[in-house]
Amino acid sequence: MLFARPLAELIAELERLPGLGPKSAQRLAYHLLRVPEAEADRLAEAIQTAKRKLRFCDVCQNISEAASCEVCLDARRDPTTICVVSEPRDVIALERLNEYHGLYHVLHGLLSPMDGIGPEQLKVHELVVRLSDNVKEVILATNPTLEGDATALYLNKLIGPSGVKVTRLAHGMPIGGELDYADSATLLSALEYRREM
Amino acid sequence: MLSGVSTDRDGGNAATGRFGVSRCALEAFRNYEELKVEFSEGLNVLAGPNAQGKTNLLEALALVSTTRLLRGQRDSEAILEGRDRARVHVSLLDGPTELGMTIERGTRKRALLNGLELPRASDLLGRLPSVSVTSEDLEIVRGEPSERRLFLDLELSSLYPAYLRHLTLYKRALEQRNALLRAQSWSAAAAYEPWEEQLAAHGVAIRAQRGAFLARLDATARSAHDAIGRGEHLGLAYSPKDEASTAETFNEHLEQGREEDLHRGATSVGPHRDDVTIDIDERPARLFGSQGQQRTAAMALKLGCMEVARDDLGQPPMLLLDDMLSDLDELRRERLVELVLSLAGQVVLTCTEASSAGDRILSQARVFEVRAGKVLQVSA
Ligand SMILES: [Zn+2]
Repeated sequence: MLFARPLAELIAELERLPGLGPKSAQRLAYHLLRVPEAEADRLAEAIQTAKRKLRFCDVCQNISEAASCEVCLDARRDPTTICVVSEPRDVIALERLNEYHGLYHVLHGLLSPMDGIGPEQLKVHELVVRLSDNVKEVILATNPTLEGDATALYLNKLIGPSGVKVTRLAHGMPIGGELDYADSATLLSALEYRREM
Repeated sequence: MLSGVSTDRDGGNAATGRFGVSRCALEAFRNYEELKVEFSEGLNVLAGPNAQGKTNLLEALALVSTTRLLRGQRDSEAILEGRDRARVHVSLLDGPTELGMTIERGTRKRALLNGLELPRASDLLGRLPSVSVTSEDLEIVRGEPSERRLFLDLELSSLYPAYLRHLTLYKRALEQRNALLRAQSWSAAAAYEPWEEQLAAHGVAIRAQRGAFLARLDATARSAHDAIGRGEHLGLAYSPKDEASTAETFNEHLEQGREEDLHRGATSVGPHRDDVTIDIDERPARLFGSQGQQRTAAMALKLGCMEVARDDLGQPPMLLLDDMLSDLDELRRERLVELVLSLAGQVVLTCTEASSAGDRILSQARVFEVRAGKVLQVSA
């Protein structure tokens, strides 16, 4: 099937977005063609504004409007603790708790040679630079997946010699979850890391 | 295996103390448009000519037990032509527990426990333990080392979820290290270490569990072989390709092998290269066994698994026997029947003629006639 060229280009651009296959890209493109022009303009503008106004924080690499993000600028936060996460959304999840008062560092991914991602593709160097700044503890909060664990192992080896304390988030059963319906991986790790009562 | 931690299995067999299936319902599975069968908790015989659906029904039971099709095919091949999804649904002998598996074209299969979807299909494993004996098992004895590794991986995964987890993570770490070898751009040791550390941890666990399982299987399969064989001696042993048996030595081997592995573009150390030796009278069955000897050895392996599983679970797993009686002469058939009866769990066996199952089985079995996708119960 041949698409009119502007449509073909729109589909091609949408297809490059993560999680969108050719079929859903087509569906989305047709949907966008049908919406009122003002709505389409708003979407295009929102994308452009976000892209122009947002950048990575020079310190923690999280998404920010200014050279330093609000967290990094907040004098009430404890600058001696850095929590390392893989994605900006992980910061949001931790901030929601209103319990953690240290700083963050966003890697923007996890080690995965299969996907061509090595330390240079992540914000690892930027993390190492921060360590000389009187940092006492680095909390590795990467996901409990093979890649998350590998990234944590890598960072631990890298940071360890500097004398900074390195910790890793614990993992186990979801609270309120039923044993029988938990996935075996979660159950196994909860069993492995069981604690004395 | 987690030492010192007993597995709570009352989701499976609390009420009757038996693993097995009381009712089975199929929808668009293989040649069955729709089917409902009520099994006896003891012996069940599915009789009928070939290509009428006996093995398909057996396979449906294997699917909810192991999450895999019997013949190692792609899942979508089990969907009836012209339909989008196949469903298998079973009620366990203990009454309240129901397991289900849905295979849909173009998406991953879904497992259900009492109507609720489980996070992963593999979370179904261990809820309906089973051992299947089919003519395909011949490949375990005759085939490449990969067939024997697959056999071990399947048996161990269905008994120990921890093994499956080690295996899954090991395979993924292996892919990551191999990708690193082929990229050759981050040649620094630091790039390899996180993957090698995980390969070592999971690889050692895999080897230990495979070794321990085979040591037990050597004894149980031998006694099964003594019963159904011709007086020959069966011997099994795990045969690792290298000597890395602790995480430290494993790590060392990987580190020392990097240079060579870079040339090969693949990892040369680890359980993904191991094999199992299967000897008949101290000679490799793969090379020197006749087809008859290889068949008997394969059957003994599976019956041996049955006993190891019973030992671990406290109850015999469900036994699925696909057309195994016709291969044997009368004496050995009788001994097989004896063995099967002594295992005393739920058994579902297929044969072309009900009479070939012999009176000892028929007198206790619920017999079904399978013809053109219809299953008719012909005895209590
Ligand atoms: Zn910041």
